[in-house]
Amino acid sequence: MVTVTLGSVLRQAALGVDLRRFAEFEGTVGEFLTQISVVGGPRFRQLLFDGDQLRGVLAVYVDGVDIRYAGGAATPVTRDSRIDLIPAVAGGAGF
Amino acid sequence: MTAPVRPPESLTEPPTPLTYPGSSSTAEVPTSLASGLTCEVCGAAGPLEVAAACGQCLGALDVAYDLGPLVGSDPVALLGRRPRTLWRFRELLPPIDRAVEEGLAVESSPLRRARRLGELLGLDDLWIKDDSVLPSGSFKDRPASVAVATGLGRGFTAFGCASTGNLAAATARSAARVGSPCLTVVPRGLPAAKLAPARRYGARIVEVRGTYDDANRIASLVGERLPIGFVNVTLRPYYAEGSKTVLLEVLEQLSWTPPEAVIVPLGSGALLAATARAERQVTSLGWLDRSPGGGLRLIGSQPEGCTPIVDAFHRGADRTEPVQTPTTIAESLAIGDPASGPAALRAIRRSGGVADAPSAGEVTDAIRAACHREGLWVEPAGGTVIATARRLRASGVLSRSDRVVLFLTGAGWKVPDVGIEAESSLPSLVLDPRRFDADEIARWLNGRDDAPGEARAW
Ligand SMILES: Cc1ncc(COP(=O)(O)O)c(C=O)c1O
Ligand SMILES: [Zn+2]
Repeated sequence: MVTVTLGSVLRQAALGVDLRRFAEFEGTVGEFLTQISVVGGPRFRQLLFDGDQLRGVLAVYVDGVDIRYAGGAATPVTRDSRIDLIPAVAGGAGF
Repeated sequence: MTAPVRPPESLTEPPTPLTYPGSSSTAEVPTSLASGLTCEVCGAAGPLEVAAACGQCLGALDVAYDLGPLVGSDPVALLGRRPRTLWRFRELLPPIDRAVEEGLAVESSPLRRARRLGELLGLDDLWIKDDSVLPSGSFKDRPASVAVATGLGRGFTAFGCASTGNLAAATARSAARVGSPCLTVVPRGLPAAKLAPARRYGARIVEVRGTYDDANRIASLVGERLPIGFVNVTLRPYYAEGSKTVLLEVLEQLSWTPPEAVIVPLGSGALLAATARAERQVTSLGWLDRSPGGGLRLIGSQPEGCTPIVDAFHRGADRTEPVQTPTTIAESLAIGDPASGPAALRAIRRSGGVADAPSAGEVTDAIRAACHREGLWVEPAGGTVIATARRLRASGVLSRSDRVVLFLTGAGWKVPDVGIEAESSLPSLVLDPRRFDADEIARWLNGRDDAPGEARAW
């Protein structure tokens, strides 16, 4: 089952979206984010994407690995994957 | 702007009426002049709350101030009789409860002239801001103290951090002083001496088999689950404010005349970005006594093996490329994906400064030089800064007469083994007390070209 953790800012923007419906997802993380952004509504989408591009300040991890060190948006997501989405400022990088 | 992640409890702002000497304003002002949070990327503004990222764009948040009531005031009259702790700059820090001020006070650190080191570097007006003397052994006592003080006001009763070692000690100490438990998350493999203070202060320590960036992500996710105020994650905007006090103290110690340059170690870039904010704020207050055209150059230094900010500076880029696996002897600065990288880059460029990356050998030589010439044992983050001073003097970026202040941010005793190979070329003489012979000691002392106590040539 694909499990997703959202940082609180993202969680609030995606209020009420049931991400469990993506539990069977298989494909790339780019496709995954596009799909959840569609059901998450415009505010949620705005936090994930700047136009068509993933936001630079969004840290995306698939199975604990920053996708910038894996295949970027093409990083594969399988049924057991764990995806963490957190603001880079409070996650992938430190103060 | 985001809603608070926890029910807001209003910060206690003592309604002390204060009049500021020299200021034209007669309005009553709160002790802190902080007015809200602003996004450093899109400029969105919101209230002072527990939030680290902008609700519009996920950008980093900074504390904003309404400095109006203090503009034109006289800093000497204003600060004069206040105790020498970081709270003397309380107008320029987030609002905190007076009740915790004493417990979380961090005494000011010395600013010293460094004549013998300056001689070696070719800098006639060299100064050292010595934060190695702070209680937990690094400047991190400043941001940790401000974050814990703010977090208490927001109802947090437990604190934590992600750390390359020094922040763990500082957070553990601040938490101990207010009786709160502390959870630190660090990369595995730090020197035992670096973690020892956090252990002694009673913190729980999670060692992650990975990098600092892994530790930071884990702290961030734990902070989503448990009511722990992670000082550099959950409370990040407040934490960052504490680092402003290094420059504020330096300026006060130099009677509000800024030096030509300060050299600042870069980890996440937060200290350098905070230094720039502090300078901007005291400039708009009119506190600086500047010679015409006299700008303060902010110079950033990162050690070879972890140079994302320096590389971006030289590429002319606005953003850093992350370094997946930093390899440096300065593990305090081993942050491959610096959150304040963009802010630090902007600040360096705006000030007319530069970014520089000395080699590991230059860093260990610099540590030895500070020991032998100033009696000051700094950790590799300090060696990095000293080595950058030497390199920039040699390349002509710094002139002999420039007043230069080195931010030496951490104590050497925490990293006892770096550079020890070089010191072991001065082995001790092992004596049998029953067959003691003063001549033997004389022969041993004279048998070396480099007299003990003198730094060898770099
Ligand atoms: C001794 C020392 N100096 C400098 C820094 C860099 O500070 P910042 O992360 O704010 O850039 C650190 C960070 O851990 C440190 O421990
Ligand atoms: Zn924003």
